[in-house]
Amino acid sequence: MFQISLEHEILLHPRYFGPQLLDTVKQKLYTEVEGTCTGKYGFVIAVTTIDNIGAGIIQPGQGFVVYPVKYKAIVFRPFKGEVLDAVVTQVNKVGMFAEIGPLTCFISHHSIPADMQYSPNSNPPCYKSKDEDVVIQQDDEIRLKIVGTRVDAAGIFAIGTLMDDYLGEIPCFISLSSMFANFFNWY
Amino acid sequence: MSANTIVVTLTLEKCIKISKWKVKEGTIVSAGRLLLLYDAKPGSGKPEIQKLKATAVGTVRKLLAKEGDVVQPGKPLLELEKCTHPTVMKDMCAECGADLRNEDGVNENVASIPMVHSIPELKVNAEQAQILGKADEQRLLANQKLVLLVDLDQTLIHTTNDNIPPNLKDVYHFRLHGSLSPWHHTRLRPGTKEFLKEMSQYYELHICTFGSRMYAHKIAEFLDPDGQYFSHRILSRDECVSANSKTANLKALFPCGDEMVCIIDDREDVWNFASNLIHVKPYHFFQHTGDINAPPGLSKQENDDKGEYDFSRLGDGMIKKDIMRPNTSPGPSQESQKDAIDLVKRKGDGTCPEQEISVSGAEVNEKNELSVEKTVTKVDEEDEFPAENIVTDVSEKNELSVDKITTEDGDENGPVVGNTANPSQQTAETIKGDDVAHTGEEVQENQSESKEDQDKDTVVPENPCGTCDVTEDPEREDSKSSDNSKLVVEKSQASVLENQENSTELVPKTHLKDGSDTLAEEYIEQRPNSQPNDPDQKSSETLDKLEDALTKSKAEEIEVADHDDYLLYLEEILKRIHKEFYHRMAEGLKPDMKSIIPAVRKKVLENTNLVFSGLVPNNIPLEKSRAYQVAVSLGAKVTQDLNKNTTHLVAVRPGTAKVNSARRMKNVFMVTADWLWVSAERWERVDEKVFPLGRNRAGTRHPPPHCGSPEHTPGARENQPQPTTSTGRSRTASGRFMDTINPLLSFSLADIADMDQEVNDIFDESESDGDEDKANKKKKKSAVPERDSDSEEDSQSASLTPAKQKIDDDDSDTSSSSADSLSGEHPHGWAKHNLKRKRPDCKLGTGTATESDGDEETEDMPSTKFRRGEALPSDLDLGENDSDSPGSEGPPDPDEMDDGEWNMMGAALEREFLS
Repeated sequence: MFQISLEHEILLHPRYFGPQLLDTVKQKLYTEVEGTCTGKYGFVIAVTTIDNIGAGIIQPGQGFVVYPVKYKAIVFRPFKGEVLDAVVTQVNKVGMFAEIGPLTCFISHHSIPADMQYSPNSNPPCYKSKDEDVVIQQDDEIRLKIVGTRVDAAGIFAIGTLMDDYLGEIPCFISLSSMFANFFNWY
Repeated sequence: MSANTIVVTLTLEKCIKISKWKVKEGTIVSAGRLLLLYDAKPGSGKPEIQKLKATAVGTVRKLLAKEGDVVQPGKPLLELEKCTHPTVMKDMCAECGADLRNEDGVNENVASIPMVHSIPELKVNAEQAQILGKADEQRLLANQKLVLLVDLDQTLIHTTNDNIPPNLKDVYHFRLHGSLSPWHHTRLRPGTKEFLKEMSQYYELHICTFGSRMYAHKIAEFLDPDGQYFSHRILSRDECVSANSKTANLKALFPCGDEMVCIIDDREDVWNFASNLIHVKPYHFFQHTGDINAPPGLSKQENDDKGEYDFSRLGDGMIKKDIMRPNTSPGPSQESQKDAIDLVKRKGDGTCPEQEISVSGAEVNEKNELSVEKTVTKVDEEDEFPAENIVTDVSEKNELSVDKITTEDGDENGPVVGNTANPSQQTAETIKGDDVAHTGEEVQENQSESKEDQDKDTVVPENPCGTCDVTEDPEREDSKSSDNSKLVVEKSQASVLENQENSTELVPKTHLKDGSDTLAEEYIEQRPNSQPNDPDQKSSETLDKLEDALTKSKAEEIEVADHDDYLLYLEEILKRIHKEFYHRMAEGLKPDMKSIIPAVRKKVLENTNLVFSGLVPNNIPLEKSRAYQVAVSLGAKVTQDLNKNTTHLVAVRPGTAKVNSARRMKNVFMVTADWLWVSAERWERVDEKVFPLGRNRAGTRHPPPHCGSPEHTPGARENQPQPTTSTGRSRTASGRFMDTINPLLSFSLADIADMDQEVNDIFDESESDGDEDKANKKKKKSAVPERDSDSEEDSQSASLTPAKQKIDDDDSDTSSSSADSLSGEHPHGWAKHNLKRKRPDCKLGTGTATESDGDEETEDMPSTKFRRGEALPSDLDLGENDSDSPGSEGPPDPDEMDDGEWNMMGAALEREFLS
């Protein structure tokens, strides 16, 4: 999660020319930028400040105006080796899927500690250790480490692992991921 | 040591002592993962513990040093096998995170098996698949379960996009893609939830549907809100490997084999007629809607013919509204006339309609009761009354419910709805309406022998319009009033059933009465809301409203009587299969569902010896008839004639020689064909008493399943309710049989037309570049000039002519459609094409197609070909050819010899088909 400076060009229809022009530009920036995903910067979570709205340039022959906007935004760009908190969304025999906000992550059952076994008969299906003191099922919060990411046009997809110290199910006390979830609900 | 293995060596300059391994053999390590702790200064008093981390991703295969060993520099520590990428998600190894798109090396055991239903991107390699599949199998065996693949559309549910009343009970309404997408209305088959609950004890349930992913999951939500039955085991169209077949996915889902997989589906073709499939009776609830998610090009025909439930009438009415009335009013049957008059009258005075209606309702009610009583008492003499009653009954009900629907729709979905009610269907409806009238007529005419079924049957051939629609009509009528017809049958014989049926018949009528008091209020209430969507409907609108309210009665939700109880039988079947499987398991066998399911089916009519009478057309050998296939697949023995072992005589009508002789035999059950169909449908030996062969009562005669039936599209088989399901399930693949006897018939007319078109296109193409053709021809064969000069080869080909001629004649005898289909299907399109081209020639040439004519014709043939490119033989009449065989259609003929051979083969084939 980073806050970085970014630029974006807003194309505005002439009908918005008027006293509210800059407001419209800002509004348009929010809608066009927030929630998008680029390979370089990852998910743009939220625009924090708008630093500068440049001079509009009228497009010849159209009447549209292009405003270069400089802004700062919180972006979420997962990196290999990063440890994150996630919410489990699906558990199956091949592994489990988890979500870190907008990022979906898959954890192969090889990357789940060997003492955790898939238990398809419980509802919902889960991975649990033999003595059943650790259970990971849907909607649980886990801490994982990212081992690879795939960036494509639609978004970012990550591969995670639980095979390291302090990874796996997060005990019930305050967890980052719930905060994260709230954050996304809010935005 | 393979290339995939790397040996991790100590790169330090000095010795170390291994204090602790942090990995063991088999561990998958990723780069940076701690491998071991070591003492950098062994020998010195104070250990200096340092860490060694992995630099590559892989699996630890072998630890080459033990804890406590002192390792010299450059010595191996452990063997690490490079990641084989056993699990891949979105082209990224799910173990090591490697991007497989960047990896250029060809990975031989690349992960390619999508093991998880709903995530096709997640793939594992064969090895992993085996492991996972094995684990699944073990688990299932441990839990004494099997796998059941469940189809959704028309198996457990029926979904329509048409407009339906919003307050039907047990109908779910939903939209898939936001507020602009069309509404879907889904009706669960009666008893679905109980079925799933029961089955989940014996089977692991999977959904396998051609619906989209969204749709499948939505339906799963309805069926299984807690996710306890299906969990995430939902396979939808989006995950299907093939657009037309579900079979392809089986391998991926069950990599260890499908011995434990049982399938229930309403169509066999998508499963390639697998023997572990139980072909269920298609569930049909909404009129005019087949399977909305049928695979492309394989969609079923509209099978409106199986409305075995009252809603079909409701639905009927929706469209009939405009048509039905004009149709019924001139109806020749007194009853319906009266009814129509009644209606008109009511329509006319919209001022105080309540009384009118309540009166008429009561009338109907009385009538009904009357008839019921009558039928009960006078079993044999139920002549026109019950039949008529049913007719009017139907129309009456239609009127009511329909109106309701239209008005409801108007309220709900805006004014568009009522009119959008499928204008295309109106024609079909008109026919149906006619048919109803017909039936009425028939009833009167055939008073003496009138049985519902018979009537229906007799109506059919008399029907002047011989379209497909009409041929379906008897069916439709039949099943539409199937409870009626059954009613008639059962009324007279099994009085228990009768009562039940009757009561259901009467329900709406009682509603009529009940509702009449609340009616006025409701009417007033609804009035302001209602937007008459059609000015000319206005007058009827008021009436509609009333009737609407009537049908509605006090309950807000319409409880639609749905007599489909198939799931109960299916449940029983599946339990039996499960029992059989684990029974065999206990015996130490390795059971396979593919053999168990047919075996279980074989037990149904075990130890019966059937004789058919009137069931198999004379021109079809017994063994090739569908009834035979069905019976055999149920384990019955079928003989041509009665003998001392015969236990059952299955007859379509009484009075045949076999029936008469069977009467003299003891211990022979005489049953209608329905007995066989129902047994096949339910997989149980139905009580013979329910289907007795009455004196003047025929069993439901289904169109004989021979190949001549005009509609043999893939869906056509499903159009015939009972025989379909039965054949479908037969293990000898009787359903397939007619396909094998004539493969052409398994194609729809559209398919055939397509193929024809394709062939034509090819010819046209090659035609267009005639120069090339010329060159090709020259190259291909040197026979060309010889032919021109009327050489021996020509005479050879001439000797073929009679055969060809014969075929042509044969062709012209058969209906044009079949000729077309044959041509489209000819294994050698060229040869057939030639035949086609020749036909006009011979017809035009002379009336008498003599040998010489044929000669001439064959001489013409080269001419037509060469006319385009090569030197023209001067002795041929080109004018005729020009007009008759347009060159644009003619195929470039590679060689006369070849052509002749092909023609021979084609002729042989054709004769086979036509015989």
